[in-house]
Amino acid sequence: MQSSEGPTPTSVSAAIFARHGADLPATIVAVRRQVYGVTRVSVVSGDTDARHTAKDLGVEWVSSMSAAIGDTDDATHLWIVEEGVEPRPDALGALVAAATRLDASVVGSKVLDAANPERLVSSGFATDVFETPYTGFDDEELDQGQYDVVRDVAAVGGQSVLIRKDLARGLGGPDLAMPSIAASVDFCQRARLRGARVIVVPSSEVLSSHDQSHVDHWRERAARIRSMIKVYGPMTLLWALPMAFLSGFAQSFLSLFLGRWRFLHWVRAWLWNVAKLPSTLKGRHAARNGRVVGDSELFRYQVSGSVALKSVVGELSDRVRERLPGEDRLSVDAIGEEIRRPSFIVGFLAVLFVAVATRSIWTVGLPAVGFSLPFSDSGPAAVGAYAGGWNPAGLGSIEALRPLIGFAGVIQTVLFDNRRLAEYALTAGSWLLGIWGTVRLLRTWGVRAVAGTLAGIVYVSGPAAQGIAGETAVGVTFAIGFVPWVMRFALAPFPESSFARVGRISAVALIAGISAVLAPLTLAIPVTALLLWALFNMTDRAAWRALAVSAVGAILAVPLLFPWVGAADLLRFVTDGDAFWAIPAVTATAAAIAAVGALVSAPKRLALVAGWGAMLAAAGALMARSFGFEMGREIGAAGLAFATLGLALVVGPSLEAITRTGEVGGWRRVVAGISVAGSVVLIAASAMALVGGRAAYPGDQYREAFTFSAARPGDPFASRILVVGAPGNLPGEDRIIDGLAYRVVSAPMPESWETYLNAPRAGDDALAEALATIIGGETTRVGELLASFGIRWIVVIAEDERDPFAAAWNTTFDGQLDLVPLGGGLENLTFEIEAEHAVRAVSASGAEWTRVGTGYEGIEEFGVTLEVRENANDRWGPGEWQQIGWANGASATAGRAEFDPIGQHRTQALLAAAWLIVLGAFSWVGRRLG
Amino acid sequence: MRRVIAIVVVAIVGTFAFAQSAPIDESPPDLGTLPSEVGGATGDPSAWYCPWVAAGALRDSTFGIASMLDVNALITLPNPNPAEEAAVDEIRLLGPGARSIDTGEIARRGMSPGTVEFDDGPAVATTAMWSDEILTGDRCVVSVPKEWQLVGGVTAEGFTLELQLFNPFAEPAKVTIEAITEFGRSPLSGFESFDVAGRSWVTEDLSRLIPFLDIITLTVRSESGIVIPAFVLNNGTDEASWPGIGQSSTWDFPVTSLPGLDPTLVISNTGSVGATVAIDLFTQDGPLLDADGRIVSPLEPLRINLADLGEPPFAVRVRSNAPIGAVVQAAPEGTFPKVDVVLPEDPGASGDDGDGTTTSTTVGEDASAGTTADGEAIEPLVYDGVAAMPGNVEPLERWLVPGLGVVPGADTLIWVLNPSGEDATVSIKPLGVSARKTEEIVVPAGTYREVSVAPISETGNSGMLVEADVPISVAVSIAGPQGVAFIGGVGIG
Repeated sequence: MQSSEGPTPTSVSAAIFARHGADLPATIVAVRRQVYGVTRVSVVSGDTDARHTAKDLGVEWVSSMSAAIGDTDDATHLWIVEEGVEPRPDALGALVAAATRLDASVVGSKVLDAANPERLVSSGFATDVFETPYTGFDDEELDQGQYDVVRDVAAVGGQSVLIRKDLARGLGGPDLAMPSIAASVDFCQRARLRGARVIVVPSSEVLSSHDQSHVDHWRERAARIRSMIKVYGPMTLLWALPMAFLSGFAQSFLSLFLGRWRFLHWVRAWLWNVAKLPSTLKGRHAARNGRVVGDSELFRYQVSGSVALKSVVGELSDRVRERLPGEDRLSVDAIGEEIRRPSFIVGFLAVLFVAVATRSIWTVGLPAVGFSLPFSDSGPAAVGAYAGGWNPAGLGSIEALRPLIGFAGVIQTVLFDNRRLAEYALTAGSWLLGIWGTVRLLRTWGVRAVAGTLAGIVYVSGPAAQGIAGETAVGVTFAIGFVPWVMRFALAPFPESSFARVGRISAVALIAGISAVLAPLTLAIPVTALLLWALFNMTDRAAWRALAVSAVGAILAVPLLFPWVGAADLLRFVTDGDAFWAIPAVTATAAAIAAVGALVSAPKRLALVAGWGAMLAAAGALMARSFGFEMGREIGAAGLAFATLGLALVVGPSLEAITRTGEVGGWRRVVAGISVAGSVVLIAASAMALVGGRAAYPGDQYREAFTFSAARPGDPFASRILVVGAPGNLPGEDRIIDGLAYRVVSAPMPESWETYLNAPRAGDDALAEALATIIGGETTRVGELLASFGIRWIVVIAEDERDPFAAAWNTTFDGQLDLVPLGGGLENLTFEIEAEHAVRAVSASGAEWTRVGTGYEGIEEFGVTLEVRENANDRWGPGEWQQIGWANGASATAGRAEFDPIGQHRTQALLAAAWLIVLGAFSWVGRRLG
Repeated sequence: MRRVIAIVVVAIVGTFAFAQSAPIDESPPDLGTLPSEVGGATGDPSAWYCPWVAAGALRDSTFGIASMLDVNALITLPNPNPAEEAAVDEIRLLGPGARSIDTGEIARRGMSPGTVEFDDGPAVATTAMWSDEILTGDRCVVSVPKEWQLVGGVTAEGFTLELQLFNPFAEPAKVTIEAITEFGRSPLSGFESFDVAGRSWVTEDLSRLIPFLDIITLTVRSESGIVIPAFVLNNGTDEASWPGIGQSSTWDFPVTSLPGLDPTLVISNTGSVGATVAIDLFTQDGPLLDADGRIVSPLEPLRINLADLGEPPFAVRVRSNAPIGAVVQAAPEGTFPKVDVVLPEDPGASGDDGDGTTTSTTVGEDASAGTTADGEAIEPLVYDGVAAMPGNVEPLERWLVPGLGVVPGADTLIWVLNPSGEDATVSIKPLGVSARKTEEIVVPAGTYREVSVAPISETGNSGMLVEADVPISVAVSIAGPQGVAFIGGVGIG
């Protein structure tokens, strides 16, 4: 209905924002019966039904909001009302009155629930700095007039909003790429930048039937990020965007505990913004061009912290409170009852266990000790090095790096090239997956969540798992998280449809492949374990089928190991080092008691599982101590993985059996109790991992030993460190000369891709010869000899003050004229070499180059030869390659020297990645179609 | 049934696993540089440390170097000011050859202990230092043990004894010094953990710290780092310097005295049991084996007046059933205090006061005199000064002797001892700029011979290669109006 009094100082046209048209009639009727008449009513947007409905009701239809704003009618204001919203008759009048009186440009109504008009939906809202709206209401808060004050707000909802039309035209209207709530916030923020006043008028009431609770949807998240980029100044963006990223990650992570998988939302939202960046920047230009206030004006209407994060945390707290027994229930019965059913608490405690047991890795990263070294500085460089690039260990080689390096490089790259985050994600993720996988695996035989979770804890941090960490077998530590899943997928009932079967096998291959990429020998664990299970259950067809599935999966997973598996010396791989695990006697006894007790007392099915676990544990222990059979370190670690799997398969049935009061009674119950006692000892032993917070890894030994180099004058990345000491006490692998151990590592800190040394090449032989000269006392200028290998420092690693190997090395370096011992409270005896050009790459004119990834950078010098002190290989360039002694000569013209990747290896790596994707796709499709 | 099978399998496999034994830890090799011989040269690159060198307004000195092969020699004189660079001189020496390098041409800044590095070998280095009033010198040391013996110190009245601690390395050294005197072990306050900065040196006046002692042996032990110690003894008329030594059961002294000087032998035993020591004298006429025999108790160093055993000159060999340290010192009769009396004293034969502990500094005069062919009386050649030298630990067939004829106005003699039972045919080949012909002499079994060396100003030669068909021992004496010096030879195989 139009006003009969003609145009007024505040003339309003109404635009009803349509969707499907079903609720349009009610909205149009409500708009038409406004006391404050509108000059024109139009329906904006919507589908075909909406257009037909508008036509039927005699209302003009406009294709877009931009068109509605752009209409050159004589209205001064535009009232936007959403379909499904029914304004009370005085709603517009109240808006116009407040807008006129308070000189506001954007005026919103109070929104009530159409189904329950007593319930508040919104009354304007604040936002946080991440543009998340915050109403301040409880979910079911009733309208008792408690918010009935006309006030400035950060934004108003889009259900009913009166906008000065010239402002709307100037701002280009709402952002059509955004969903409604985010678009409202965005529009209000842009309006405020132009100096417009945004208020809510509670006396203007509208009833809304539209559910706008999906603020957690990825489109809303994405739109909020877009809005931030559009409205905030550069300085604000500098901190707000990273914070938004981290906050989103934390929210997604915490949502896991609420049973919501939000990681894809988070990733998708950011990827959407990357794709939309050009249009966002355009919008930013329009929004900030002509602004009259700064970010501080926006901050005035914002709450501190992250609203979304607080919401998740609050919800989590409520869940925990609900699950905690009340004082009246804090009894043995109540606890027993809790244990007998899958419990949120136990799961939560398991996550807490992992968080506490890996806390040091979050704060510091993987400890630098034994074969555990920090991931490489650059994730992409690690991927490149794995895919046919240069192996930087020692004096370098073309030997293929282990697949772990490539995989960790990919993870690191995805995690914004943050190596510590990647280390934590792999460690904690593996533990969580391991516990979860153990629960799922044991569920196959009816072991319930509590027993399964405790078995999972023994699996990831029990005595054998601690043995793996003690051996600093980083790859195996990561890989064991996947092993139970391979077994679970293989053991699960085989699907009926062919698609699903292909998907199942692909899933097994995919998971087994990832496990193998992390630690190649773990590929054999599920197959071998399931073979034993099948032999133990000869007549069980499901067991044999599981074996077949896992075997086929393992075969399909092998291509994922290329190029490493095609180029590596596999005999050396399995025989290097000594496989020996000093079995802790107490825990071995406890394990034996738990196993025998469960075998004797548990119901048949559980007993068989426990017996299978005991055999796996015993066989694993034998493998882990098989150095007498010339088995190496990798076999030992794989044996420990068998052993920890076996222990988990003992503990789960042991704990489960005691809860089967109906099946386990009489003397069996007594024996079951004894078995549980053994299991409890194993669980208690697992808790030792909490002490250091390093996921049971030994304490950091090398970080302080090497990082001094970063504080020395000059560029530490340009040089190497010669590390000497006792065999087995150096970072990663070592070489032996006269019974003493040595190796070279990169300064300022060796990285994981340097862990395993190549077979000796010309440079390594030359270094050994130089060290023989030094040990033979045939030189008094050690520095001069070693500088030509790029070695600038010598660190003598001593296990303790009486380490005879360290003492022998100390004596060797006595009486040298160009070694300067470094003081400063260094833990290890450290020398600095005084000789000139103790760098890894130096040009003929004496310019010293620095290491970047696996290549080198320095001053561009035309026509000058660069000596790259890596083992000679003609793929080093640019320019014409020449061999300089054991090293390489390249051109210094380009200011960069690098290794030309081996094409065959690179192709294999790409094919392996493609195969991983194919397996993933088959798994997903098979699961969906099945 | 399956439960039983499981238990049995687990028991068998578990037992087998437990039965596996742990790898055996390997023990480290015995590395280190702790040779007792501190003067031997090898066929490898080597560094020679010369702790007592000075070149200034009053003193001149030379580094004498000799090599069998073409070598580059790098002489480094650390700067006492750590902020300043060391003075360095690089010399190309064609082998076999010898050169004498004036320290003052490298740096003339007083005390200049230095290092001589050869990039090949065998090559050796010695030093000689002189002024108008003193003459001293010795071979440099090539190996750097953690424990040194300094034998033959004396702080009796009239003597000034300094301890020179030279640290040619970058690492600061921390050393502990113990003294053994005629009164047994004597504490050296402040030397329990004594610091010597890297590439620097420290000179301590022991005459003030432990005065009025007739015989001092120091043990210098490095807790960290390494030092090269030397004794510097001044008796008011001359200066003698000798480096620290290791221990050996045999010490040869081809030279013990010069006309006008009486030889004394100082023996020190730092072991835990007494050492039975025999002293053989080798005159030009033949050997006098077991001329003296002693038991040298631990912590009781001995000074033996060798002139009491026979009429100098003679060469000496000291044999012991346990490692000992030995140094020979020569000075005019009565210069050194007599702390040891071997033979019954002839009341008329000595001017001593007879109590055996006097510290007379009277310079003796050689009573012998001769005539020329014309019947003219020849003024007997008598030297006044003090010289000291550690012995050679083993006779060898080849010796390199640099630094000859370099002291202006002084006579240089090469002393060749043949302690073996066979006559030695010794060839002495000059090394230097002029190619003089090789001289051959025969040194009968159990005797010694001295060979005069012409000054470098006449021949251009500053070194000799001494070769024999049987193992011999070689040393050098330099004597002039300034004083006297004994320099041990360096065997090369």
